[in-house]
This record gives sequence, structure tokens and C-alpha cells, in this order.
Amino acid sequence: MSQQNPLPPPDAADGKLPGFDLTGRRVIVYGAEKPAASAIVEALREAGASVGVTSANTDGTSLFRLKKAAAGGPNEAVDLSNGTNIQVATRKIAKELGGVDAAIVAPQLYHAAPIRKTLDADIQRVLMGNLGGTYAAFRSASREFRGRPGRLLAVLDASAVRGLTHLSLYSAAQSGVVGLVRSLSQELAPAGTTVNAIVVGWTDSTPGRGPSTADDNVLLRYIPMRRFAAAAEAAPLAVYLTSEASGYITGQVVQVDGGVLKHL
Amino acid sequence: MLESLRMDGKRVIVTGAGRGLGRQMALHLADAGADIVCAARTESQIEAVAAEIEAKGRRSLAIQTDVTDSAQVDALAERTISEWGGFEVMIANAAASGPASMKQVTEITDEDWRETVDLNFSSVFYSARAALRHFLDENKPGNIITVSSGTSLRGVGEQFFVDGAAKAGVINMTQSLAIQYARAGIRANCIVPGFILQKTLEDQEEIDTARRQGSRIPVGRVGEAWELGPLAVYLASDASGYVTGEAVIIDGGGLAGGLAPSGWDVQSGIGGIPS
Repeated sequence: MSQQNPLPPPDAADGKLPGFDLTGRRVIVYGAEKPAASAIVEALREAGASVGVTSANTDGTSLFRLKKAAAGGPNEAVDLSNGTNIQVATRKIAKELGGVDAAIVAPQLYHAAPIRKTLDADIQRVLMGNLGGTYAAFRSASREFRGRPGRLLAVLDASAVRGLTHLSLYSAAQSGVVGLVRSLSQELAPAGTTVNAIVVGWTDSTPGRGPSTADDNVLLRYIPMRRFAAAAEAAPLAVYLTSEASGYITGQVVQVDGGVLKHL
Repeated sequence: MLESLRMDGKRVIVTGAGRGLGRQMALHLADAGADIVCAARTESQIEAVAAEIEAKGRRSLAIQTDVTDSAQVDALAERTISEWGGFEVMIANAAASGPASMKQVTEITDEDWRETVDLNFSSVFYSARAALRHFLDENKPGNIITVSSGTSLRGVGEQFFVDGAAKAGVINMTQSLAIQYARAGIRANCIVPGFILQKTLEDQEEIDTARRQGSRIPVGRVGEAWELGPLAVYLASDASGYVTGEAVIIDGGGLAGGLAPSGWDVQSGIGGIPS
């Protein structure tokens, strides 16, 4: 057992708040080319962490954005549907950072189609790119914790907790991560490692979201706050759930959604 | 990006601020820059917390309040408005077990029921209503944080029958407040703590008891009251600006599991039995 009562609060560095101080902590962000994940990378650095990044895909745009998110730090091109690729990249980044205290995975391989038009190849690709990739990244990162309490965090979208026509495959892959989070939280709890997820609602970078004013967009009228999230709005929560001070939150899915997941 | 966590110039009312979770939330919010109104029944305790907050260089008021009496809750809001000109955040934290808490269902009288519901549910409604009226009168954004309990999310054994039901009401009420007032710029969120130590452990016997309780929780320990502080700062500040109607569970992994006491034993292939 790594932790026992009484457990004193960790010290926070000057000018930083307890729970939002990542001084000396080493974090890998997988899928860092996604807008929400890029913002999280920035916030982690602001909180004092050393950050290494991987992409989720290896297309040109992803790699361009990966370099930008890396800001000269450790970075590896990764295809999240390839577990070996993830393992090798994790080892390399861990060496450069001198260890790993936390990992954040942002899987977001979209797929929208009626079930009758979904192919076997789609099932493979979408399940692996979202659920399989998160599983493999959690596995590789947790090996690097080496018995110390770590932090694992998945950044999902609302399909992880609600159904939507034509998103059955994507939703199955995203909500699978929620099951992974719950079970893995139990398995890693004795070591003091926490496993959580953030669900981000509609953001101003969600594909197909439509116009940004409620007058022009029925979708916005459905969101109690009447606006889309900015990509950066999940970042402070990600910092908190990566910090040493959040050790009593595990197995949870916290929603940053403007209230859209709260109404009937 | 993390500047949004700062609470400088924000005025926060914390009910149940005299000890335990409420005290820790008040102290962490003060560290983030907020001025705090400490409300609770026991005057000596809130005066002590108010002094701690002033020692951090923030303003603080100690206002003795019984949150089961709506007139006292309204007076708490009114005095804050008259002394400080208003407030931005209400943390409806105060609650306590009541006369029904330890009784079998068949033994609970109507009066036990009412008193226990008042302590755990009506009190939160009175606090939320007083805050809403102020925010709407002033036509300004506001923030309400309620505190529920892990007992609200699963059936409970012989104890806390009324408490669990009342705390479940707190979560649903928070969600409805969130969606009804989102357009007015008012957010409402709920903190759902599991087992948390309400006080500092003073002797070996208390430490042993806490460790025994902790061994039944997935992370292997009971939560410390200070662990509520950063979460309260997150929810009270603009850092959580897109979060509303949320119930954040902080319970060491208890509610995420619960299928078998110590996991699936890979060797025997059955749910493990605690040793």
C-alpha cells in the first residue's frame, strides 16, 4: 500500500495553487494535435510540467500540429491504432523526460455512418483508433510509473456518454474507454494511481457543429449555456486531474459540457 | 490559462465553514484570493476560521446561521450584501446526520424524516434560492456549489436511509438549477464526497480506525478534508466556466467499482475475497 492516512497536502510552489502545481512532473500527451489536447499541453507547461507529446494519426496535418504542440520538446509520430508504435514512442519520450508521472490520451477518430453501411474495416479502425489506442497508451505509460502513484486521463467527447444517430460505432469506441477507466481505476488504485476521463461537449472545433449563434443554429439552442466550448476550456481540469493533489478522485468521468448532458 | 483559477475580489459564502470540508474549502478559496463569509451554527468555530482567512490577508465575516431555517439563510445573504455589497459564489455545504440517520425505516417518525430532510436537502434549497435571488436581482453571473454524498448514488444499508435520498435530491436539484439558469450566466455544480476525514487525526487510535476504514476503499485510504479544497477552487473559479450541472465524485474509487471486494482473482477465476 503506497498511501495511508494521515496524508498531508503536497506543497505548492510559490505563486501556484495546490492542485494546479505540476512543478517537476513529467507528462505524456497522446493525440496532442487535437485542439483540446494542444490547449492541455500548454496548460500543463504553464503549471510547471515537462511535457512530451505524440500524435494520434500520422497524416501531414497531424504531424504539422504535433510539432507545434511539442514546442521543441520530446515528440513522436504515433498512430494510436498501433500498440507497438505507442510502446516504442512512450519508451523514447520517457527516456527524454527522465520518467513519467502522468499520461493524457485524447482519442478522437471520428466515424459517422448508418450501421448498414459500416464495413468490417471501419469497425477495426474506429475501435482501435479510439479504444485500443487509449488502452495501449495507458498500458505503456503505467509501465513507466514503476510503482509510484501515477495519473491516467482520457479526453473524450459526449459520444462517450450519450447516443446519437449514425455515431453508433464512434460512440461504442468512445464509451468503451469509460469502461476501461472504471475497471483500470480499481486495478491501479492500490498503487495510488488514478484513472479518470474528461468528457468535452460540443466545442468550436467539433466537425459539423454549424454556426455559432443560437439564432442560426438549432444545436446551440439545445445547449443550456447557448455557446460552444473553446478548445482551452477543458485544460484547467486536466491539470488538476494530473496533479498530486487529486489522488482521491478515480474512476470518474467529469463533463465539461455547458450543461448539454444534464437535461432531459 | 491558469490565471482563470484566481478568485481575487470574489466574495464567497461557505455554509458549514466551521470545520471539516467547509473549513478546508474556505481556506483554499482564500488562498486563491477570495473573500469568505463563514456560516455555521457554532460561532466559536466560524470565528476561528474567519481569523485564519484574515491572517491570509483576505476579508472574512463569521455569520452564525442555522441553515435549516430559511429566514436565517436569507438573513445571511442580506448581511453579506449589506456589508460587502454582494457575493459571487454560494457554497451550500452544511449538512449533518439527523434523528432518522441511524434508525430502521419502520422506526422513523414523521418528525425524524422532516428534520433529517431539512438538514440535508431543504438547507441546500434555501441557500441556493437566496443566492439565485441575489444574482437575478443584480442581473449578474453567479455560481452555486452544492455538496452531496456518495450515499446518494447507491442504495444504502441499515443507516442513512433518509440522508441518501435527501442527498440524491441535492444532485438532481443542482442539475435543474444549472439548466434553468445557464442563460442568466449562473452555474450550479455539485461535489459528491465519499468517505472523508472530518478532522485531523490526533492519536494512534484515531489513526488505526482511519486506516481500517481506508482498507475498504480502492485507493487504500480515507480522503483527507484538504482534498476538497482544490476541487472547490476549480468549481468556484472561471477555470470551470463551461462546467455546469456536474456532480464530481471524490471517493477514492468506491463508486467506480463495487462488483467484488478485491477484484477478479486471475488464478481462481472468481471475485476476490478480502484477506
